[in-house]
Amino acid sequence: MSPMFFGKSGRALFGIYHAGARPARNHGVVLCSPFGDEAVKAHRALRVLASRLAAARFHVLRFDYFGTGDSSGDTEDGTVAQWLVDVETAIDELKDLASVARVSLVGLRFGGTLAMLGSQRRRDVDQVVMWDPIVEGGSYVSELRKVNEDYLRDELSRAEDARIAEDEVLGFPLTRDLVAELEAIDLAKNGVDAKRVSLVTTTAHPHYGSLANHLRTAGARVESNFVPMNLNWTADQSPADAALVPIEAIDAVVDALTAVS
Amino acid sequence: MRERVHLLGPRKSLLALVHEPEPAPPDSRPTFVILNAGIVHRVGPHRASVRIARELAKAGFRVVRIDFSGLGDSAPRPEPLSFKEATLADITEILDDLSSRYRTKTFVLGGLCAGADRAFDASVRDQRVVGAIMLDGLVYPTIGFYLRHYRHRLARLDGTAALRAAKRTTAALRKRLRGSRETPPQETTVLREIPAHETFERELQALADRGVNMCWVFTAGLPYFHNYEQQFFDSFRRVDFKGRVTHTYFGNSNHTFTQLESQRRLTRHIIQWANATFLTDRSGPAQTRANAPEE
Repeated sequence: MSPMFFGKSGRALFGIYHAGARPARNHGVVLCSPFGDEAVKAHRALRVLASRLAAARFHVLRFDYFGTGDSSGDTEDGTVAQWLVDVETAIDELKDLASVARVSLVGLRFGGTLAMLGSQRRRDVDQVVMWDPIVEGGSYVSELRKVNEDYLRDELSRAEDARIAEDEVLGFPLTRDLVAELEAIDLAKNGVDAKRVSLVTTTAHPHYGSLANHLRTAGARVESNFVPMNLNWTADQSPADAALVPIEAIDAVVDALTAVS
Repeated sequence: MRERVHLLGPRKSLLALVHEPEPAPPDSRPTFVILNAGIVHRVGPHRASVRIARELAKAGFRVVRIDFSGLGDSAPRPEPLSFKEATLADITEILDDLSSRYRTKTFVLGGLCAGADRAFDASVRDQRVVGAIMLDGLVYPTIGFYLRHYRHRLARLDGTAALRAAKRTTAALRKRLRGSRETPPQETTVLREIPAHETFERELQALADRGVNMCWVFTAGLPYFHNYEQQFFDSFRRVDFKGRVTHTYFGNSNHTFTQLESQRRLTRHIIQWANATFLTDRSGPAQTRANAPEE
């Protein structure tokens, strides 16, 4: 495990590189984190996923987008446009670090969305694995706002003069520009470059069926794996539940990559 | 400001993010070390540790955010130790490494919840620590706490249920008041080791005697543990703080400072405390007690 900063000076991204076990595959995997508080909550799961993929002989890079985690930038400065650039920067970094010809993207929640959108900007992405992705940005914004309000109403019930701010969710800014970017996303309607796509889902959300159909219609090879689990990535975390490690879903992601690699 | 990543300790196993001011601070200025909040990795709940670290670095302090062994991206320790002993051993190794790497000789430790407990414990053990920030750190129940605690519970009942509960509450209060120096209600002991009140009081006095400057912040987020502004002082009436303690109550914040305004207020408060305590040329006590966060 090698932690590092990479990318442009002043917009440096933090990443951790996991070299594949020998003999390593000529195949790298970039892990794309969720948005906001979900990324903090998912840190442990993505670390375990990276370790398992490295043990399965993939070279792996997990990283933080600009304005998130340990990367440069203030939380208030995050935009979807910048995060898509960051996905490309991470792909280039992994190809450089591991000298691999093939790269795949794995994304959890909104990271799955960014992986899918990011792959359409490149010719060198072999496979996209979306784990519980956000399909429709508008619904996601509504869900986040409701969870935030419910959570804070309960949390602040005994606080003095507490007001629930509207332009943030669970401790992260939800600026007007970011909302506009999110609401413009609908993976089940977006253009698709034909490629290999895997959907690993833990809930039976109707969006996932629409997405799979849309991708197949567009000519992508789509494999779906439903791993029913009681996960809640969106709820605010207490220190006790900050380390979800849903191992069955993690194994399903590893299987999706090893099955075709 | 420059940001670097290091693997610290004799096994190069403890991940640390260093925020280095430019120009580099003098060797005499303490380095701040921000500890994990519970089991949340080094960015802290809602990435607040990053926000605080960067603002402290802008103010001229070197700041290090770390993952304890087995948390975040740090490897577990090879020897079987309790969580408390492992984290205290981690802190010793981290301070040793930073001392040789940066020639800094003094430190300020800070943390939230279990991180606050560890900042306090390590400050007691390690003479290099000259300051500590405790966010929702340990505090003990007082008569005032129990009165508010049971009043709130009764207020949520009605009719005969309230009458029955009032009888039970009166009996419970009598019992509490007879043996008033005790551990907090059971809920508080799930995630945190709580020492005997006398032990904690003795350690608090020892820190004040040693001249360790302490920044205590409490929120409204753990009402079964801390439920009124003056509880800290009522809890430690026998301690002579010697002007080393600042105490602030964030009455409109939850435990993890979820709302951005709470995070910004907390950051401002810590910067003001750090500036007033460590950037002025004084040999006397650092602070007088302040009970409201500065805006």
